[in-house]
Amino acid sequence: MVDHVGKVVLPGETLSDFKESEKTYKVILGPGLRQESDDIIVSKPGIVRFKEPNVYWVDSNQKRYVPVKGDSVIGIVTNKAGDVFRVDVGGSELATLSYLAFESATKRNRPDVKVGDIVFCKFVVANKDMEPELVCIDSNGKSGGLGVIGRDGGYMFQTSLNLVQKILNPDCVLLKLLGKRLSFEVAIGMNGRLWIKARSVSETIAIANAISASEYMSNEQIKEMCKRLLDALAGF
Amino acid sequence: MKMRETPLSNCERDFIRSAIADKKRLDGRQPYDYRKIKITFGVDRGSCQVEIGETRVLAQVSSEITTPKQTRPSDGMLFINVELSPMASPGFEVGRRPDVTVDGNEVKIHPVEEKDPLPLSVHHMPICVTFAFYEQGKYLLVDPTDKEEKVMDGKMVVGMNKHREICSLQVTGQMLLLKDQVLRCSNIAVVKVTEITELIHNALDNDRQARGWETGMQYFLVLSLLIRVSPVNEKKDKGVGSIGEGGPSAWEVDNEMEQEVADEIQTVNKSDRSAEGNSRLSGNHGDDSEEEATCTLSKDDLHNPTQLQ
Amino acid sequence: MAGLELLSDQGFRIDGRRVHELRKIQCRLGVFSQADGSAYIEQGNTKVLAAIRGSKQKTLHDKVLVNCQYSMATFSTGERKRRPRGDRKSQEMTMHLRQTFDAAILTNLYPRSQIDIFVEVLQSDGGNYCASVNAATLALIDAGIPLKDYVCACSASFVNDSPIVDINYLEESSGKPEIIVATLPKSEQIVFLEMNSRLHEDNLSKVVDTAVKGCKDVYQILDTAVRDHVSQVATVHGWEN
Repeated sequence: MVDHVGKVVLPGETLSDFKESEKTYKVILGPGLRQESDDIIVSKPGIVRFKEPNVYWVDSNQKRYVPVKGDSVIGIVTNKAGDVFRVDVGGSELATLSYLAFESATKRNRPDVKVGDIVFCKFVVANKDMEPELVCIDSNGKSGGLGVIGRDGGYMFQTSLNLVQKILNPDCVLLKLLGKRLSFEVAIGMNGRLWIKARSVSETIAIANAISASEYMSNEQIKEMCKRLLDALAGF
Repeated sequence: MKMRETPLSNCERDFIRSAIADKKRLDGRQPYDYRKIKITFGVDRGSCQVEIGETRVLAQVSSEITTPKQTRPSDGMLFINVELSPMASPGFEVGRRPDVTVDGNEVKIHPVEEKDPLPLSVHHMPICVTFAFYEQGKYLLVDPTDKEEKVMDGKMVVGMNKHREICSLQVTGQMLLLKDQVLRCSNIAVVKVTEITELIHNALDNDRQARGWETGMQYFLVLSLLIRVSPVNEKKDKGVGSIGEGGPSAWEVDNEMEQEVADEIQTVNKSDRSAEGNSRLSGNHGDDSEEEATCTLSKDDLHNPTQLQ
Repeated sequence: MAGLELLSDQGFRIDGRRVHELRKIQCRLGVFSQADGSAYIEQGNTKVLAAIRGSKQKTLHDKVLVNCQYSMATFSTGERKRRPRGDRKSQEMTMHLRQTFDAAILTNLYPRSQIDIFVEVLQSDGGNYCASVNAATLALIDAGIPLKDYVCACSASFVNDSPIVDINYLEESSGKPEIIVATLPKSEQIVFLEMNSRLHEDNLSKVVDTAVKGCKDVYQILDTAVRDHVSQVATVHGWEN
């Protein structure tokens, strides 16, 4: 199987020779791979990836976000219904966010969330048979950066799911380069939404456009673009 | 089922507003700038694709000689069909009414004469310009994108030709305007219309050269729709299978058949001499609001995305 | 219509009016007892009924939802109408009315509720939109719904180099430009504006002015009617003491 890694596969292909864990003799299959009796069949077109010791998955270009447990996402509050907020995360259905799932929220002390606000939150339930559920706290009840964002400015925009994964990759230089010269805050949701707040409106627009433009660029090209962008901004 | 559109967050709304107050736009344009317009003609005559930024519209024209309506023997008929595919935006769905202004009244069709086919002649070219208003008309944007349209208080669509004649004007949305603001918009529209008319003329000239063919007049829908009609027996003696100099054939008829068609048309023409020269179609049919949607090109048909039956 | 002379040399129109003259307007408020508010208006031969109904429904979270229904009676036009509502013209009219009143009603005062405006054209002789807006305004006032101002609508056209106000069906169907304006008359703010047919840009200002002036005239008449109605109601209820 090792020779499949990094290759393009198409749905229906059968893969073999997986590297198993030495202790358990097991293989972990991620998205895009599925087991049918004794065969491992590809179910999404994309590139096979492997992670030590025994994890395999297929990186594919998907546009619709599917909630995954543990993902941090940016959602838009669309409705208040009883004791939950209904949040649009770009998935097939609205996710719920309990008003108790905020830092220091109690039955009496409700969090200040309005319809139309954007929230940075995490999935605790993401399951094909159940309504997805979000929280804005970690297991210790702390916010850890989660919660309502964008109250005092900033801009949220939608990018592709792949771009988000790309800029979160430690190898990607984009945010580091931008961060060297500009000071800005950014929240990145795995659902393809990004929120950015820089010092001024024009800087925010510039950063947003730089991120959107970098989707199909190599690190070299990104460096070049950042240089031009920063020069242009300086001359603004 | 209609798909849910992504709601617009307060954050985006506030940001776009503050950017507009700052005289900046997300795509780097100035408030009065138009997006890039690209006009491409199809291989077939009478089709055209126009792109304004990320908005794309395809227009196709076809013509046919038919008996006019009994009530209006000297008038031709014009059908306009606007289709908003659900592919274009998840919000579009049959039966919904987006604000699409289509402008194209006053079209005059010459009957086909002997060997010389006459292209569709058009009185004038109306071009539409959209203005978006923010903060009760304090800020004004030309040619808003879909996000800017979501944030705006209201918009005004001006249809105008290059002779500075306003052909349609519509203000929609929940906002209050002063007369001066309306007049200011119409002044800006004059400039934009001149620019776009120029652009279209250039595109047509290029196309004409590319085809190596004397074409005639053209006819426009919303600034983004450009339609051209070629009469049925247009290239009767030019031989089958070539449009101009390099265009592949769109005509899969043989000579004989073509001759037949042409003859038929001739007959029709002779029997209908009275209607000749002035098969005019006017957009104003008074109060004819029945759901028949045949000939009347009244404005509300144009506003309607659903198909005319 | 080409043979008809819309404006004679003496400055008279087909129905004998001068260029700046409105048709006769008669109106009544509170014509129905079941509806929360209602009104009836006649502008020349155009006759319109409007009724208002409010309800508490879970709709929009921050403001009231304004809902309109415009319909034309089957006997309202010269030829029998096949569908009183739901055809394209009615749909468009409904949309325009909703927009107009969305802008004029103080919508943020009634979150999570709905205001239904029903408009029925009983007889149509041009200016359906205008009469509908004027009738609906009266009905909203009768219902006691807070408005920014009266909403008055008026049409205008441009014949022989002079603008004419409040055009009737014949003038409407002559192929001349038709401009429809709805304004808040006190501040002269335009809520709705629509124009068909060709008009040179230089003349736009004149025609809009004429229409806005027409709206102000309409306002005077509506205001008198409202004051009469209120004083009558006041007498009946004995509020004056």
